[in-house]
Amino acid sequence: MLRMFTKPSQHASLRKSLREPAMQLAVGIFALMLAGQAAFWHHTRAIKPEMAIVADVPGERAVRALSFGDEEAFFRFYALNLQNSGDTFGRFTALYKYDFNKLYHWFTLLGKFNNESNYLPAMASYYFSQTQNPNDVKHIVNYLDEYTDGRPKEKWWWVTQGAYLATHKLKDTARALELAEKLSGVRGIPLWAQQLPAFIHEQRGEFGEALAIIEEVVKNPEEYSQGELNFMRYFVDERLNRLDSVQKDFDAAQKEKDDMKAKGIEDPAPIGPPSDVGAPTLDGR
Amino acid sequence: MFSNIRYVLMTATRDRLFLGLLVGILAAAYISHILGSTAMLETQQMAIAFTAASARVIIMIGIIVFIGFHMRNAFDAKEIDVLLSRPISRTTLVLSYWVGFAAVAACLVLPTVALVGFMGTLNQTGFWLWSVSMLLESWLVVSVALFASLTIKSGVGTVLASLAIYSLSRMMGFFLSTTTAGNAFKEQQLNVGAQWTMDAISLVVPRLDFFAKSNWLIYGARSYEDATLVLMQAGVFIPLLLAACVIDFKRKQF
Repeated sequence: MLRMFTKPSQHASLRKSLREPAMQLAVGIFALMLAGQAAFWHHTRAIKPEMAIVADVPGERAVRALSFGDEEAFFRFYALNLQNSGDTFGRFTALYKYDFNKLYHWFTLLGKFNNESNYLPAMASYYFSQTQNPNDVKHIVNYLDEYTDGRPKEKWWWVTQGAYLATHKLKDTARALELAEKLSGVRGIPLWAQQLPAFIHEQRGEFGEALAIIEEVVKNPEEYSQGELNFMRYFVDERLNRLDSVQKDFDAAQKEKDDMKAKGIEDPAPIGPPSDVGAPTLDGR
Repeated sequence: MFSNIRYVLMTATRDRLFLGLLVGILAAAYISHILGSTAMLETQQMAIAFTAASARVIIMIGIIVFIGFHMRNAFDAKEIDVLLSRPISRTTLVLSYWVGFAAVAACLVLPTVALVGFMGTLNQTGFWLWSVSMLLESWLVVSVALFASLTIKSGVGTVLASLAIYSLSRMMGFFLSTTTAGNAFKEQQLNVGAQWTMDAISLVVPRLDFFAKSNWLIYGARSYEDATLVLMQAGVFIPLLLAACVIDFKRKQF
């Protein structure tokens, strides 16, 4: 390393070279341009590139072209970009400053490239829904509604997230009910998700509709535990005040549960959130 | 023939192709892992998709550059003339070059497959389909680059032409669907013309958008058709290009 500095240069000395007029001109131009560059730097150092919080949404065709036949990789790339939008290059942006209409269009665009992944609905439900401007949440609810359309059994978790956001953030129980109704009569999902439309009806004072949903659920005792039956009895009795009209159904369900217990049939295990939605599972993982 | 294959492999080792590209792939995998870990969900899927896509691009560009300059050097240094002065037919020489380059490609693809497998196989069938299609894609790219290197008299030209064909092949599905939709231009005649032109081009350009899809690694193949399309395209186009190489090389005057 030291030799590199002590090694004699193979160039002629600068003083000797400066005797030539061409060299004098070159050095003069070099010094002048260096000063010019310094002036340019002084003038432009405050100019920062304009960075949007949420990038403009490209056309579907443009994205398909740029993906070079590997749409999954581009879906992941854009989705990660969307997660970090507004928080790049040393910025941290409050969520109320985001353009949620653009976000909605990003979600729907990326959904055309991968409609199976839970990444986008998770980002929408857990992160962007925390905006300080509750009105913006309507775009998230609309997205979750479209995302789960036609497949409530596979995507029930996101239906419940949409209904939750509509109820508690938008304070729009009618919109929440539209989403929750998708879960009516869907079996093989947690009981509370099947009962969700009943809870919203109850909040809206529509006790008759709520009762009808619970009546449907009660008909399948093999799908719920004794604890869940107790809860439904409590819900109908204390919150709907309609136990008299369905007492027979509940008694029949109770009898069936007792018979099952006598035969040694165990209560079904409760169903927790799916393992791939970023929510804690029932065993706490 | 075998000495030529060995020579190609030795040249690749001498030029540090394996070391350079594998270091690049490892760096890409590391960056992909970091990027993936910043995702709020599906971190493994992110890392796998980014690694698979970036490794594919690194390997294909590496193969194209290596073949382009290796062949140009062989012509310029009169290595080809020396080889032809020995009792070896021109067909055998072309085939030995292809096998040599295909072996180089396999030496790059197989560690990459192992690396992606090490990151986690979310779908076993999809992983194997991706691996096989990646190998076949690299062999198809070898054929394209070999054909370009035999027909174009400049190393840079060979690389640029091969990259252009590779990009076009990867985007061919998009071009076909755009022109078939018939709404790219306001004038209907232009749309018909574009569709006709693209149909004609797609006749002689392989469909590489069928190959090495990252979503196979995550969700698996949609149907057997995914595999058959890859096998059929490689089965048709590699021999086609090799035949074209042989025809051109046989007519070459030295």
